[in-house]
Amino acid sequence: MATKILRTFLRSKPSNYITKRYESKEKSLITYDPFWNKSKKDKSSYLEVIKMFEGRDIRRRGHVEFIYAALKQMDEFGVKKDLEAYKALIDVLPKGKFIPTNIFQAEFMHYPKQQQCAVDLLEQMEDNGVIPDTEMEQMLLNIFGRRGIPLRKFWRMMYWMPKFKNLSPWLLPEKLPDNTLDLAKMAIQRIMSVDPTVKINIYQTEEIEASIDKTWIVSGQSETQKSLLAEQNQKQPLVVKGPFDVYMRDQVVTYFTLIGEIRPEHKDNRDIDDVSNIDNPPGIPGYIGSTAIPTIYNTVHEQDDGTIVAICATGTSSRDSLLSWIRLLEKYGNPSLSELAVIFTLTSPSSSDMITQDSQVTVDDEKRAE
Amino acid sequence: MLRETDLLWCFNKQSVLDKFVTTSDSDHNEGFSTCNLEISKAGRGLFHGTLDTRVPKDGRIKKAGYCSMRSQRIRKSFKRDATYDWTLYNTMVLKVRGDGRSYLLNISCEGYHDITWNDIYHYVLFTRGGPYWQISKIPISKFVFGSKGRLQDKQTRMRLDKVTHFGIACGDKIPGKFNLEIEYIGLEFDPNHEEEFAYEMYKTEKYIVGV
Repeated sequence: MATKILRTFLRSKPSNYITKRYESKEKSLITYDPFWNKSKKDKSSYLEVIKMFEGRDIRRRGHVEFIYAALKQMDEFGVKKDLEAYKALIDVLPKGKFIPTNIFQAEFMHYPKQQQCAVDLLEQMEDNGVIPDTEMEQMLLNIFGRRGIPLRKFWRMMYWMPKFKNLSPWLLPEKLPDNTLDLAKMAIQRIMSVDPTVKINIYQTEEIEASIDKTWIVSGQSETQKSLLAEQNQKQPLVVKGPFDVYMRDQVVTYFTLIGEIRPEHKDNRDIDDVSNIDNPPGIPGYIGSTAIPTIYNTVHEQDDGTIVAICATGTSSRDSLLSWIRLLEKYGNPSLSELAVIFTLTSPSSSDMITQDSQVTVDDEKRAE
Repeated sequence: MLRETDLLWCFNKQSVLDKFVTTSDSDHNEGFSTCNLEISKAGRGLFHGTLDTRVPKDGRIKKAGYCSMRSQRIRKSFKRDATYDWTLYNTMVLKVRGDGRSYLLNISCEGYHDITWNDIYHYVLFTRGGPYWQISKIPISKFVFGSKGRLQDKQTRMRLDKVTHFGIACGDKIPGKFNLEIEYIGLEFDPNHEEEFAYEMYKTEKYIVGV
């Protein structure tokens, strides 16, 4: 009887049914990526995908794979610096299940894949400079318990990251301005922070009739530099050097310098131990004796590779905009420039735009130039 | 002397630059960054190159992008290993001209056991950017203890009499060119700085920290 059933079962199928079925189909492995088919890539759609995954299945099968896939997509969705997105991802992990209940589980890494996944998530946060908060600690405690390795990582992050967060003496705002003009202004301000009397001016090249490039110029010059420029030897030419780069976190601003003559460094060769001829002690200005304010021999602007007389960043970084800059400097407070020769050492015409990482900014800037 | 900087290296000639070795991840087939240490136009040491954060597709490397310069091991006669003795000082002084990036200062100390060979003390060198020189004074007590680049839970003070190498690294995850012009690296004793170690060293709970 059994053999008869088997025979009919085998006969009822066409002989090459199984092979045919596989021949006709795609052979490549298809993985389903819930993030891929999202038309709008932003924070709300990212959180929506996470919510969809959470609601799909009560067991949340494949949540580790889902979190890894989601971590890779963060940059594309623009949420890599968003604490809320990371919290939503941690929330995918089930609460209570991964907490070890005895010392052996605690010691031998209970649920290693899941713990490693959470550590990798925290590491990505660290790399992107996102500092977690106490709510995240509570979530992790509910998932992994106090002995969990992700908790150790969390506590380390909470110890170290705030220590280094505001360490820079030239602190930048959390979000850099999208506008290139504002960014250039910040950069020039930062460079010129050596001299507290500096004035940052924003000029428009439209003021100069002969200019071809109609753009903006951020120019930094202090009163000291103005007087240094006025004292420049007429026979020595000024040199416009550049382009140089300055990094404002991940944005690059190109700047140019106007360099004057090299002034000799003041050398004090007096022997301070020599007591044979002691000067009168200096008086107090306005009260005792007649004293002048002590002369400053060298300002910060006088360096051994030249005296820096002005610094600028222009919208186009082109030769023409630099020419306009010199003319604008002459117009606003540096009349001596009309008698001085200026050499441009721009090796090749710089790219038509400021070099920026963000393409959106570039487009924005081009519109401005038009 | 108090408040006087003693120079360790003054980068004004090629022979000083030769005391340093530059390394980048491309040297080990672990990335695509390149770097070089040369005499600049202003006659100083110029540590420059390109940082590239692309990861080679070998399935092994997860992250890439570092360039570093490190002093060669100091030696006694007959090529025996020696160490710097910096016990008289408490502040590190660097005169640099950077490009706005932040760099990492690394000091390695000699240890006896092989697990201590990767122990390095780190601190950040922020640069202003621009044509002006900056003098950065960094208290040595602020250097953070790390092993293979990972900051350690149990922090310890540096053995200042056992310093073997000093290095500067660039690896701030921002791809692009970098330029760091160095005039000198020196040490100073600042009598007003009384801190011995900047990080907490109190006892913590068992089995959570340092395991």
